[in-house]
Amino acid sequence: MEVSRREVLGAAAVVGAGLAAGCSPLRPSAPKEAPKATSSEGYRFLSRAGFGPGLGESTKFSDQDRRDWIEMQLRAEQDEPAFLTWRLSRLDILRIEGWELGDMPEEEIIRQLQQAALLRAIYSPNQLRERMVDFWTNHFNIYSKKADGAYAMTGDQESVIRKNALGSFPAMLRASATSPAMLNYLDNKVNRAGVANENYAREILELHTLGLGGGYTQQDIREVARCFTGWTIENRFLRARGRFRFREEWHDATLKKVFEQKITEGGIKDGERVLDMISVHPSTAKHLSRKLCEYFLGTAPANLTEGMSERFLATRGDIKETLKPLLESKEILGDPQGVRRPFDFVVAILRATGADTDARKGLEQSLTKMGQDLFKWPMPDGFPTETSSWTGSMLPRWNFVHAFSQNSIPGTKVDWQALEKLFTNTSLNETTHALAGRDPVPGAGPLTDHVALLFASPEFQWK
Amino acid sequence: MEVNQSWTTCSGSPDQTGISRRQLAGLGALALLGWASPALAQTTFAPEGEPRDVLVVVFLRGGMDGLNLLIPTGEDNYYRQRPSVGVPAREAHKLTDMFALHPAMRPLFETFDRGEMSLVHACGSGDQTRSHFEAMNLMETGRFENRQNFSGGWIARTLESSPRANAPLRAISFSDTMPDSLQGATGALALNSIQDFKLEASDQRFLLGLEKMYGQGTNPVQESGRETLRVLKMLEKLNPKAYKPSNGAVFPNSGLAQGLQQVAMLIRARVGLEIACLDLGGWDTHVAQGAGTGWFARQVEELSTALAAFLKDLGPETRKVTVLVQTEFGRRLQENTGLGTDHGRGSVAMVLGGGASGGIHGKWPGLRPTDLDEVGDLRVANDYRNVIAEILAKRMKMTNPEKVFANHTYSELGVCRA
Repeated sequence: MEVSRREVLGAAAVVGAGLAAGCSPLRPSAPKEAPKATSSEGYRFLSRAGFGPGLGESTKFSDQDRRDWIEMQLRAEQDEPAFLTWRLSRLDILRIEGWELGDMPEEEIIRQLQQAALLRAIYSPNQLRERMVDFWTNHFNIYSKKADGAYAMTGDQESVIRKNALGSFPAMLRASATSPAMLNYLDNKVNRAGVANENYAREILELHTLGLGGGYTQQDIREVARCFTGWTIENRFLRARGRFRFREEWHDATLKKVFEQKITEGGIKDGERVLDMISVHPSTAKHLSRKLCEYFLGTAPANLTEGMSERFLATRGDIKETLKPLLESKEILGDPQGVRRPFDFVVAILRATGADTDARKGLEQSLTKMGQDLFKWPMPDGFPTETSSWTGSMLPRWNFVHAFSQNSIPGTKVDWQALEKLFTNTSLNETTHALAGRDPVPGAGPLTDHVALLFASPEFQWK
Repeated sequence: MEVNQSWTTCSGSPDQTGISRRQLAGLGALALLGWASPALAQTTFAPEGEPRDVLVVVFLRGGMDGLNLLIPTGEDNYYRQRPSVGVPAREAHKLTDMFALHPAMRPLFETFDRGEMSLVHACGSGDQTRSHFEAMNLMETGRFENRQNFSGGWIARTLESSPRANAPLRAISFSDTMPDSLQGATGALALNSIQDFKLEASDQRFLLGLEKMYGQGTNPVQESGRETLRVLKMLEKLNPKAYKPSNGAVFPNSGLAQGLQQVAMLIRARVGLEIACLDLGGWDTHVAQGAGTGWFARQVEELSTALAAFLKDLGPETRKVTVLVQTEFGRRLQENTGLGTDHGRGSVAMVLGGGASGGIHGKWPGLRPTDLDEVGDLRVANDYRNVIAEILAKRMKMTNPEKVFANHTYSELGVCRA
């Protein structure tokens, strides 16, 4: 039986949808019905385009339903559930501007950054946007423990990553280039005429845009570094608020040549010219398309990356348009090719079971043990997507799901009785497919045992 | 089929072979076992039973400034180009008329004097990108040039070429994620502490369920899961908390030292550990790196105290333990306006342990303007692969270590005793 379009659209928001009688508006509410139908393809789609189906969400839908889902998710305008808004509103980092957070310890700021990321990924109905936020956070990775960088991280998350996650790549690149957190992390804040600091110039070419082998030389890196001299941060005096500042007196005014073209604009326009040259460059299109495919699928089929590159170039870096060929592809429904990173793994489990979590220490420590301490990947390339990077940490995953099934992760709870009741009239096969996209584990006992083994299974580690 | 070709083919670019990334991930280890091993097993190692060293690889991540570790005090241009960052000769520990050790290496001075520390300056790869990731990946995959196209780690290949390919706990990485050097070795584990390595479930049903689910299958997740279960069984018999270092050794509280202490415990317990990988990050000293004191000096101190404690604890057992310390590249000779140094080329590699021959080895290309490369960096005069290959040959008893490096014909630098 085909599920109607309306049911599917409604289902996407299911976690926040039923603020029904008896539920506190400050807690996630449980759905009243088990999902109507499941399909492996739909399960995989929702696990890649989003962080996996929420409890009660149907995974069986038609091609038209999928197109509708994509359209709605690309708009990313669904209302956030009230309890999510409320929980986020209690985070200091989202209420107070970075320069006034000075009295808060760095660790608490980072914890709140992690909390916000987890809460949104788990509970936001705008799943595709949160997917892309995760992607871009890693693409423009910043190690929040470098030189008080944590204090500028909220600004980076909000005005670079979240604001542009489904918008324009050139706008995001520009926002990143002037983001105090990035200027701090990749040392451009001290890049000045004389002996330029090449750190940012190198990474913007290698990681953010053209990619290694994207057609630039060592000389280009040095020249780009000179173009960005003077792009720095306000000093923290008096009313200065640690914002971006261009210091003309630090700028290298001598002639520069990037990709064999003379840069003659002068002043801040030198750096802007570089951004224009690289933000919609064919190598950038190729690099981003490939990276997006690796992230979503764990593989980058040439036909797909070519189509995405074309869209990227034709629309001058429109992220929505670039994503469409990927989201509409048959590959996104196909057999898994990449593993779930720990963040994916945890979020998918919490969504599938309708867990209530404060997303604080309990989850943070679990993620750290699995190797993905959010906002603390030290190198600018972001957490790896390669399968082999993550297979070394199976044990912490097993330990997490076992503790989770016993409700012994601090701050995270599942009402297992209610869950069992929800699936009373559903076959075991449909239940395990709804929860974990796989057949029951042979010989497993009560639901809590069963759930731990479902999530600990080899199949569930794949995305 | 040539063994080397099978590496290149199975780990090479998907475009070339039509093998997808996923297939590669799955095939990486398998292919090495299935295609490469029969040939390798016959030829690469001396007969079973001949004692081989345990190899401990410490990777200094971020580009360690070799010029401030083994300081060329005899080069005028060193002081001209580093007016602030240069370490004055009077502060450094003189070894020869040309070289002196950074003062923060004090805990290892005695090791050097005993002849148990070999140093190779101007050491590195042919990497021209000066990218951390590319340069690290190059070294960890055992490549020299960027254009060489194969992946999979050199340590993974070393392990796979031995007959004991499926023994648990052969290789451990004390890190959050698996380093590239171990990519493709299913027998390798990444963990932060050996104490963390236990199943936190009181009921047997969960364990039995896992054993059932991971009992078969050949994808990387299944293989890793199976390996994990094997190691769990083995570690049940060990108690890391009860470990007492010997010979008065005191391991500092740093991550590297704590990792090395656990390596020492595993060596002592003879659980079959062959290779351990550890990292020390924080070497990307673009800004305010300091000279005799400061950022870089603190890094050196952390490294030296940890290594000294490790060697002291193992005492005579270091005869069968070799430590390799390497970094992806060195740093530019000329300091920058931030009183730091940018990415360069040649740096210092160290070999420590009873099997080290001691002293300074390799060619020194000099620091005069004409000696430097076009960007102004210390040239790479000594191929890092020659350091590793010599360890593999003399200490790991491999008969043809060049196989690990795609048939690279290596020449000895003399860093190890036979």
